[in-house]
Amino acid sequence: MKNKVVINGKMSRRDMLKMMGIGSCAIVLASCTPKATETAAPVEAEPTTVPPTEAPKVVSLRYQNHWTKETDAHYPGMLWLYEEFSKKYPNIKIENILNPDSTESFKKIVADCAAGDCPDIIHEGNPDMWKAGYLLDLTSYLDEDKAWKDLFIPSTFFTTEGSTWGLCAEFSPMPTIWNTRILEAAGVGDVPKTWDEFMTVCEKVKTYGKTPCSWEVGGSHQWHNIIASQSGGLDAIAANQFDAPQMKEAFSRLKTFVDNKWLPENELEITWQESIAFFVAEETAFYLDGAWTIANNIYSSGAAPDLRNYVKYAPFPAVSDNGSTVELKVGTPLALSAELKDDPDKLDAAIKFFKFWFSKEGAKQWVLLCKSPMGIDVDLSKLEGVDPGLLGHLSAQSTAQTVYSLPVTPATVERGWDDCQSGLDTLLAGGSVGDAMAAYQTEMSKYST
Amino acid sequence: MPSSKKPFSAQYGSPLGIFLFLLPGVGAYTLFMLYPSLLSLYYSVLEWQGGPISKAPFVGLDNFTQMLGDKYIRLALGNNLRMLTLNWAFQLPIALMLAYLLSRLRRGVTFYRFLFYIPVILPVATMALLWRFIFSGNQYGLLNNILERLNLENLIRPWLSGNGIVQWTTSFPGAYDSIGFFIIIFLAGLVGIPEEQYEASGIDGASSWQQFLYVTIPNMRGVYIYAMILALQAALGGFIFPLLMTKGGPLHLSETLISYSLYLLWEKKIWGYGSAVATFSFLLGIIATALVWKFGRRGQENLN
Repeated sequence: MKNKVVINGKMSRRDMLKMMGIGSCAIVLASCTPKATETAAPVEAEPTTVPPTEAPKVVSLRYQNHWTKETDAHYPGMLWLYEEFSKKYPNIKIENILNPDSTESFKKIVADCAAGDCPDIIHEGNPDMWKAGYLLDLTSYLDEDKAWKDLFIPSTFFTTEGSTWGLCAEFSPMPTIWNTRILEAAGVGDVPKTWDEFMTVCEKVKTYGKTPCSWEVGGSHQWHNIIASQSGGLDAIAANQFDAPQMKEAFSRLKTFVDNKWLPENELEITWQESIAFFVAEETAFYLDGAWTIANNIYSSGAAPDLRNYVKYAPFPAVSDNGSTVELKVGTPLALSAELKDDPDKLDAAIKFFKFWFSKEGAKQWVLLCKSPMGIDVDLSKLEGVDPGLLGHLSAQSTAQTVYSLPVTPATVERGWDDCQSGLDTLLAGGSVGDAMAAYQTEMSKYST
Repeated sequence: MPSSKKPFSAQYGSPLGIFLFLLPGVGAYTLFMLYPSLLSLYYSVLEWQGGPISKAPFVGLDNFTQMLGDKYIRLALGNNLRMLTLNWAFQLPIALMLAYLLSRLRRGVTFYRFLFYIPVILPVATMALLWRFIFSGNQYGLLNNILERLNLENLIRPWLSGNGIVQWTTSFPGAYDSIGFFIIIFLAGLVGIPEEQYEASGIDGASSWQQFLYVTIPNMRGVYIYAMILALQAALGGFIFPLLMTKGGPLHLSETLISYSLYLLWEKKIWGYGSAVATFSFLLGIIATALVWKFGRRGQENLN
């Protein structure tokens, strides 16, 4: 006699389980089918009368970025951008895809492009992506609209071998940002203007019980400033001379911080977020960062409400012949996907989006709402409502003896901000200046020149 | 003479039913495990640093020979071996002893079993952040704070940045957190040991320790070999604690093979070489597992 379970002559348990298995397979298969695209239009019946004027085709552009989270300095600007752009071009939809912070956002975009799924608007393109063929050449679009091209600060174009692929969405000085409350308590009258004064200030801050700075944010900019202050330093960077004496001098001077323990005890293990948090928590006396730090950090809810009143922006102290310095960072290249060439409607929409954003009005709103300038010149003297913090941040340029930008070459853009980090980490790990130079040169050998 | 052998469907059920039941599991495994592994193997023989893969040149075993001269591979392998040492020398013996004690406990077994299993069920990211907080070298680090309060300042160390120290502090959490998992495995094995053997040894005058050595351990040999293989795979594939605690730093000192592979893939965008490192880790795991299985079984056969 079989042990078969029959439930009142209806389907057996085995058969029921078989049907459940078939059903679950069907669900899995159905979920794997591709979605219908937004641009797929339903079939319309043939009109019997003269048709009205055709409405513009709805076009959707995908834009992945990390600027559209509420805590980001650029959030108000992005809201304005999307709102006003959609009013002007109601048929162009921007599909915003929020990524985590800048590092993860960049990785995700690069991975998507490698997988053949580039977003239409690419946040932070780079020369690698250009060489890989992911980015659209914007040169012709700029050349055929001279009025648009003339709005830009020329040194802010991201160009490789004559082709412009990126427009600068962040063009900011990187002054030294001092906490004057700590300086006053430490017995320091004013921010230092020379290297010797700088050393004295750091000693006093340390004696007072605070830490002068953390390199995790701004360390590389200190290094750039020391090089820029020396004759021939910037030329050495532009020429990729990674064994230049100016660079050795920079490591040598920064080693003073390690030797005197002027950095957090666990500097090697902390992240850049923790580094900025030290300043916001008024544990460190200074750091270097761009205008975005005003909204992101100094004005953040984690900072004391009056911290903004005790912040002073100044050039980096003079080290050598070129005097005090301020680096102007040309950053955040906005690019378009090369795949747009295959879709004229999307290409047209994307160019419109760029022209709307990178305009006088767009740049003005960016200064007012984000406190962060773009690569388009804005006459602040004619602008009302500019945040005093931003004015202070920008004012450091006017008192610096040397204002410079790192040359926007494929090599420098590829290396990014933290080009000397391997050298700085070597100093932190107890290495000599020679060890730091060796680590730096080894790291630089991986990049194109 | 009629055949006594039952037809397949009578013996095993409908082939279609078997296929349909296996399809979701096998399909998911193929799609999410086997296919990416094979793709990774394919990428590992290419020089691919972005751009269309069709344009990436085939370089054969160049990516693998490059590993021979890569000092970070040696650092990473060293850290994987440290994880293995901690797993085999610390994690498994402690798990076995605790399982043995639990098996002899008359009351509170469920409570202690739950207590030991808590680290296993907590999210790994949470555990990594907790360990980072414990080992942090700044004034908020728990361990250094405790040492300071106990007047043991001479023992204070840069736990997450010191060379020779960070390699162990990033390997330890993985060994510690999985103790509960192995306790459960060993408990299941201990349940299968006949009680008569313990009674007989007790009658012969064996102490608890002698019972553990001469009754428990021989009977647990098979389960222990299995646990060793699991611990080996965890060690060779370990990356999550170094990644979340120190991002493999400082200066790649706490990298493991997988975390270094992730660094090459996502930070440096060297897809070909990064895939080669991942493939190497995979092959190393297979070979090591086969060796442990082979020698473990040989020992088991001798015992039988």
